[in-house]
Amino acid sequence: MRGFVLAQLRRGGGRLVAAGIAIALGSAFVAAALLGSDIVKQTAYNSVSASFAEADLVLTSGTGFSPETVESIGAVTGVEAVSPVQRLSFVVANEGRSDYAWASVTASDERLEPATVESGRLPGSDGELALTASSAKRLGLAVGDVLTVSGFDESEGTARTATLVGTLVDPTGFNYDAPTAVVTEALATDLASAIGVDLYAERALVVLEDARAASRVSNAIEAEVQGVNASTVHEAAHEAVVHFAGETDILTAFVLTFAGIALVVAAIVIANTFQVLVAQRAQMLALLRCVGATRSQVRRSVLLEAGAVGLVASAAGLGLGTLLAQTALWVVPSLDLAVPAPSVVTLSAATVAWPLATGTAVTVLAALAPARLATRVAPLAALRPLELTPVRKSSRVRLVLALLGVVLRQHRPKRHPATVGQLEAVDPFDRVADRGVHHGGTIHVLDGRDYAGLPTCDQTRLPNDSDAR
Amino acid sequence: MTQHAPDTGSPAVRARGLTKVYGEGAAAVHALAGVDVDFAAGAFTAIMGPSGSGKSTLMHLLAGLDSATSGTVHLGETELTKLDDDALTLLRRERVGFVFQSFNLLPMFTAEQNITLPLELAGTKVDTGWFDTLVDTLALRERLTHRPGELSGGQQQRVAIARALIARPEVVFADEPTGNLDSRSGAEVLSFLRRSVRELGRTVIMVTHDPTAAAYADRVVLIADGRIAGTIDDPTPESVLAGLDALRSLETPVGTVA
Repeated sequence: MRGFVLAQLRRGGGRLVAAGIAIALGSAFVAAALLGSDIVKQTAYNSVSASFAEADLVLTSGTGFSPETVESIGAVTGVEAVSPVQRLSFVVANEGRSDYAWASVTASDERLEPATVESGRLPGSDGELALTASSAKRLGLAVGDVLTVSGFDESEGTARTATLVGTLVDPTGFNYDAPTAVVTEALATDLASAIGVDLYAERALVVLEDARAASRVSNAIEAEVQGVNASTVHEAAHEAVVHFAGETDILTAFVLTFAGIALVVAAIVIANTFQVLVAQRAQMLALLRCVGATRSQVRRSVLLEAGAVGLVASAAGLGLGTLLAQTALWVVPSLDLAVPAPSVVTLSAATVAWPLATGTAVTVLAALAPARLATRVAPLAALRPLELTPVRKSSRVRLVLALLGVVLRQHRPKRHPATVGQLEAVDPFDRVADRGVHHGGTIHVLDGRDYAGLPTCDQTRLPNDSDAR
Repeated sequence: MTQHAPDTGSPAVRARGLTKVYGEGAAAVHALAGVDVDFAAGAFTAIMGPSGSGKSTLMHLLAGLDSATSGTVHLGETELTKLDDDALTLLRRERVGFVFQSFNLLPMFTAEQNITLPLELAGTKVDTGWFDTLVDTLALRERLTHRPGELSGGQQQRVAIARALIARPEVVFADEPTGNLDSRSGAEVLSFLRRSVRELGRTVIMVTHDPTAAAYADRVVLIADGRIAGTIDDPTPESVLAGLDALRSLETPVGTVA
């Protein structure tokens, strides 16, 4: 039966192209949606983990990190350096232009400093400040210039002056938490008290003496310092991505909706195509049934064919989807979005398996009804002198429709008497019987005994008959 | 695969009280009205009769392709009339062969693939000895790699005969095997059918309307109006024609109604 399916695939290749394209588009959507979601997640992961600099552990605490807490963390065996991530928001202004700054305090250890200097340096002494390159540009500042920093309400006398000592590489992509300014702890404390807020650290970063001891040290920190949760950089980044992905999943769902629509359309096209193929092959299927193909073999042959078409088409779709995603990645850098997107699509087991599985499954499911139709072709149909010679394209559609009608009619359990006449219309003795049948009358049944006296020709055997057994 | 050796003692196919009615009530057509007939194993039998006589219906019932209204059909010891679709399919696969008027070869398969199709469906191995015997007997050696489109009608029908015989069936049913052939190819096909009976020990039941074709058989069963109307042993074209004429003369009154 596999030979039959293969031969049919080779023969019916052209007819299956439309169905194949439909399926390929559907699975291309699935692939693109999954790859897109993966890329967004990977980008988010990259952004988040970049904000952890070279830290080994990320600590969180509901009560913040006081100097005492930081000190006791630093005292835990295995901890080499610890730096609370202190944040403060304020306004930076220059010559009437102002910008919002989401600042962080310089890390106590340079390995834990997430900000990357583009030009100049990080602030070292009081009254110094670094801004992102884009913020500095907006304010018309160059390294060495003096600017004003203040709370959101300048009238309260919160304004301070500071010197821009460096510009920072702009925070990338989806990392909404990335600082747009770096200030010294002294300036931050001064500004915070002037504004009337506390410097607050939601988390702290830790460098370990030995990165391999991460789980042991994180347990030790949690045990020795009250109210602190420790997780590895990977865990923390992953958690942040999951939180973030909740929002990107909407986008994924949107694309997947398109994929669903494409697959439904594909299913309709496939069902139609296979219906036509089955109708076209009615005579062949009947022959197969005659020479010993069971119904389930016939059904399987159709489903196997559909499965093969589905698999090939969804593989093509996967390729197309991957190409789409990769094209997007090629385009992204030129859009200057400053997103740390990967340069090459990474295929995971899921992004490969799902488009293939959905495309193939939809094809096979759509072929279920045609497969059922195929099993209903009666083996008796093979005995009908129904010529299936190739026809020109113009009449092909009509032939298919006609055959479809024939196939459907054949499923009726009881044949109309007229069929009897039609079947034997090639018979030279057709006058009597055909008239009897077509005119709705009954065939005159002669009593068999009338023939008892018929001549039984018992002649001498032909010479070559003598070797009959 | 077991070879069902022809046993001239018991019939290969046996029908008893076989009826087939199409339609119901006043519109009912009795295609077969009680047929009792035996077909000897190892013999070549022809079923003849006018159109509408029920000869095709009889063959369909004997081959398990259609269900009887009443009565029984036995193939060897197996009662076909009791079998379900799957059992009938397996029976056709292993114990029955078919030769059709329209050849019914798969166009995308070579002659060889067409011949071994029943074995492929059954998932059994080709008996190369038997395959070679068939190919040589039917003179198909040179044609094995050809597709049906590249073969003449007579060659196609010989391929079909080889296909019908490849599984060593107990009986081969041939439905108007020469209907689509010119007389020379037809004669060739008929002598091959006869050789497969004489030399290869097969049982062949052929439905035909052609007296010349019927004369190749060992025995002719005449059927008219759904009943067995007589038999002709060791027929000649003349004796078959005479038998048919006798049937026709009996039918004439019906035919002249219109």
